[in-house]
Amino acid sequence: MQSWKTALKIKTKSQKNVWLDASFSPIINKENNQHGYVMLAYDMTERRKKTEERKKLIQELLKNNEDLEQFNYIISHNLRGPVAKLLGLTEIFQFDDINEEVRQTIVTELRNETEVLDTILKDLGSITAIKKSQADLVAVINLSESFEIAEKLVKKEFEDIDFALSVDFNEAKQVFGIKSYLQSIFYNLLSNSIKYRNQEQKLNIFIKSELQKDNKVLISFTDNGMGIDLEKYKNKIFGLYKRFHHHVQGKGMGLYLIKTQVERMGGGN
Amino acid sequence: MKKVLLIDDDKIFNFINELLIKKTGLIESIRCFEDAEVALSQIQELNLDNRDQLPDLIFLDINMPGMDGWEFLVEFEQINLNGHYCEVYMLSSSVSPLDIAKSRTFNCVKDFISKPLSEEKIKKILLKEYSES
Repeated sequence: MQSWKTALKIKTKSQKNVWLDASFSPIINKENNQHGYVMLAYDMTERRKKTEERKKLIQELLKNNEDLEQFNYIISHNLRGPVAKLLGLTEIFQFDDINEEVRQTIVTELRNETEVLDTILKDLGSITAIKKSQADLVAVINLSESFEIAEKLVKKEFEDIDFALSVDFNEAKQVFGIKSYLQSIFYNLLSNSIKYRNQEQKLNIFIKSELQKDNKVLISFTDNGMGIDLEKYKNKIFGLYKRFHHHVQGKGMGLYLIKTQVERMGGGN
Repeated sequence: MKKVLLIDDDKIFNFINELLIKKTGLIESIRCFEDAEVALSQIQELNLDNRDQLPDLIFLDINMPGMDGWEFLVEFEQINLNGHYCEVYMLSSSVSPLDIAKSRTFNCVKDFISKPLSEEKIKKILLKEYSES
């Protein structure tokens, strides 16, 4: 003859899921035999829901924090190089036994490094803006329209190149997202295709949209360019300032920006 | 007087460090390399044909495309310098405890220095060597 407690999940007559915190106490009759149970139950559904939401929020905050820490680390690392150079340059600038040519070189490099610092700070600004923005207009975007705008922006770079562009948005014509991000993503992908193309072949680009089971849209962008060795660099391709082809000009921000923007629109998993 | 080797893929750092080191007046010669592999083969050549031109002191950057500082050290320690003593000081714009610990696994590495080098830091290194040798 015991009393006990448990959590119960039941379905009400109206098919609603309800969580109960129930305790059972035995009913003893005159002959000291157990007769039945009295159950006392509290509806815990609301409480459970709130706990789940809180857990989710904490997870999100932790991830955000991790992202920010990583971001911080990357930026401060990239700032150290130019700052170290500026310190070194100013020290040697004060030597009185250097000739005019050397002095000029120092002044030029002082300027260059300051510009590098400036660029990093500007990049920082634009990346933080993407990560923090809350008031961005989320709307239904027509993929073809968005793509055309990005195409116009790279028109000049395409001029001297032998290329073929195949665009197929028939399966999924629209997507719910942020217009400026989508344009930026298309622009960066096109720009990368051109920059890292295989100079000895005609550049072929294939873009296609597909509707997925979870109502998300998969946009695939393929080209026949230089490619990136994924075995070696799999974990680095979306990193900030990471570059894989040193003989081609670039900062190493394109894919990082794309990833940030895709995630900001709720995609990427 | 010491013969110094600078290995850094950034020619601006080499430019700065060369001037700083020359200014101390404590060295005999200094050579700069932007490619660690080239520096390595130079050392190997000198080791065979021109041993009295071998460097006594190497300032080595860590992060370089191609052969990086660590890879250079592995190859360098395998060269039999036949009694010639050469010290290595590692340079990096950002110093982490992991890097410092790793540098200790190499016999020839005497210290780990955070960029930028300065006249003061260099003098301390060069003078310390004098008193040791």
